[in-house]
Amino acid sequence: MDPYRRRLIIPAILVVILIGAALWQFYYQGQAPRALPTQAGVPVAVGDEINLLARLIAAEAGAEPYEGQVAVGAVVLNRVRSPLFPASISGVIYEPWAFESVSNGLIWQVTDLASPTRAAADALNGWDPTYGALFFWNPAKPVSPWIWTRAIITQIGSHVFAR
Amino acid sequence: MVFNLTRKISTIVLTLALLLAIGWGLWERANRLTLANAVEAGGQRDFYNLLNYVEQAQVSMGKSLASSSPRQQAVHLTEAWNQAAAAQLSLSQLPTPGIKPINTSKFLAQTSDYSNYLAQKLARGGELSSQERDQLARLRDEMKRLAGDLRQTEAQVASKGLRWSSFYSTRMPAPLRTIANLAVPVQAQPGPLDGFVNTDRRLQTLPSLNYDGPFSDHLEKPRPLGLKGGDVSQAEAERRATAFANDASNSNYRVQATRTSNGLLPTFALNLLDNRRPNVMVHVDISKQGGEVISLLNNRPVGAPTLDAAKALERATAFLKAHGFANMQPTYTVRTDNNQVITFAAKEGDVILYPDQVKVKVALDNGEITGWDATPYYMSHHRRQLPTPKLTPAEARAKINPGLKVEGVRPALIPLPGGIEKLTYEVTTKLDDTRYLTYINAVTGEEEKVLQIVDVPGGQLTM
Repeated sequence: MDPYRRRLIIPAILVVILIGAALWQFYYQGQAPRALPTQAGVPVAVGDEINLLARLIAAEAGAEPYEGQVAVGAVVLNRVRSPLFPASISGVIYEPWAFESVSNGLIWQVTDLASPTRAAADALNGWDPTYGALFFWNPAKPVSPWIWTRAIITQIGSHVFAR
Repeated sequence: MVFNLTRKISTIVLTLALLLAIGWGLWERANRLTLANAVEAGGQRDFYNLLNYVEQAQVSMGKSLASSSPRQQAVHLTEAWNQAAAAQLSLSQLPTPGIKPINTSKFLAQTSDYSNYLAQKLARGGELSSQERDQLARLRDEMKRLAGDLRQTEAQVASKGLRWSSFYSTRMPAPLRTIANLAVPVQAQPGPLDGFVNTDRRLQTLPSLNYDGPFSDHLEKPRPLGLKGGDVSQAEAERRATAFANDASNSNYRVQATRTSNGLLPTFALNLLDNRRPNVMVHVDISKQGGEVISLLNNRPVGAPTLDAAKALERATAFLKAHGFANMQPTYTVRTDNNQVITFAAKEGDVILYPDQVKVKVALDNGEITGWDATPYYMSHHRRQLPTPKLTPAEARAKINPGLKVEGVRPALIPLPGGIEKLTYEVTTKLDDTRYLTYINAVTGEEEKVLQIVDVPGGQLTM
């Protein structure tokens, strides 16, 4: 290879990276609004908050078994009734760092809401497979050591539930 | 010559690329700063709200202690109730990573709830007992100390020692962090949130607070009152769950997995698979004590309805009867998707026992029972000594505001905050197009509670 061609490789790679980054940036920004919450296709069954709850369930437990999805919804509702947490569904969900999917934005990107919406309705109708859990976490992921001091109730799918 | 030209070109391209990279970086930085400022403003707003509400609540509680008229006391306690609740909400939205000030949160919620309880007591013509005054004074002192702690943190916030937005930055990758640490060694400093941690630790040691409200400490761990007998074995639980599910679906199930659960109501939790329909799974919870069926959930999506609400009610009532719940009154029904969820309450004679509820979910495509929840029933059902009513239904009816149209009167036992149950007459009334349920105490004639029926799509009371 000619020496000057070899010298061109680095700037060429730089240019490619830059153009790539710029394109990705604009693509990402163009995508973001389309991924924002939409209520289309989600039947309002119990209240307005069913959408919010279904979205959280989908983001936190989309791949979990059905009762694991109901359990995540029940944890939110148990928190609403507990003095340790805010007294509304939106207050509980948007508490800073309360849910990983809110911190990393996954809650705005979920699309499959069919099963989570049914789970949210069941949770709002009173079903609670955890019988009073206030916390849940995935034991395979790193979590704050404080969380292990809570009284563990059971494990459903890949989530541990505790009071 | 050619060599020189390409060299020039590559220099230009390189310079342009560098300028582009710098420009892009600056633009990203400007974006980040705008967002960081918005987050900082949110954190500051929540923090100053918290400080303000805690101080106001402290003042209101002090005023209620200083006041000698019960009416004035009730006014100040109502203020304290709202201010403490607002403080708890602000605290919960404050970004405090790694620490969760749950004891502070609990203290604020309980103080708010306790103030409300005292205000209600005064509004009903009661008086504060000396114990209640002492309790209130103790909570006021704690609120004062909390305000002091927060004011110290405020000094930090004001001098920029504490920036809420800084908690949102992404952590540097470990190798880079090591290099940065070698260049500028980190000194052990008091963390910006130490004040919160210390306050929270202190509030953890508060003595328990018992009163007639939902956040009273004696209600934290309710015991199931409706379970009798000894513990059942896992095999027995599996047998009962399968039999129950077979009957609910009119099908045949096998056990896929069983686990144990140690919640407020300890259970065996079973997953059952349908032998006849692939991919249909049912989840059943059997109480360890007594082996009762507490809950059933079928995950099947339900198709287009062929049954109406009346047929679903018939099906649910028959199912309840077949499982030993003969005397149940349907109280509320709501349709979600293609399921009808019907809430039943137990009856003793003609008195509806609202605490003892069972919910049944009926699939409207084939009448299958797809859900069962008897948790409230087994948590609260026990042999009760119901008081003899001193009022007749007609007398209860006469207590109603004459502007309301009365649609019905029936005796009902209702749960009140603090785990209390009262025998009442439930009077269904209508004002304009809104329905209300008014509960008149059947012994004292006092109005205990008013409920407004909020219309949700597909939901209705069943009379």
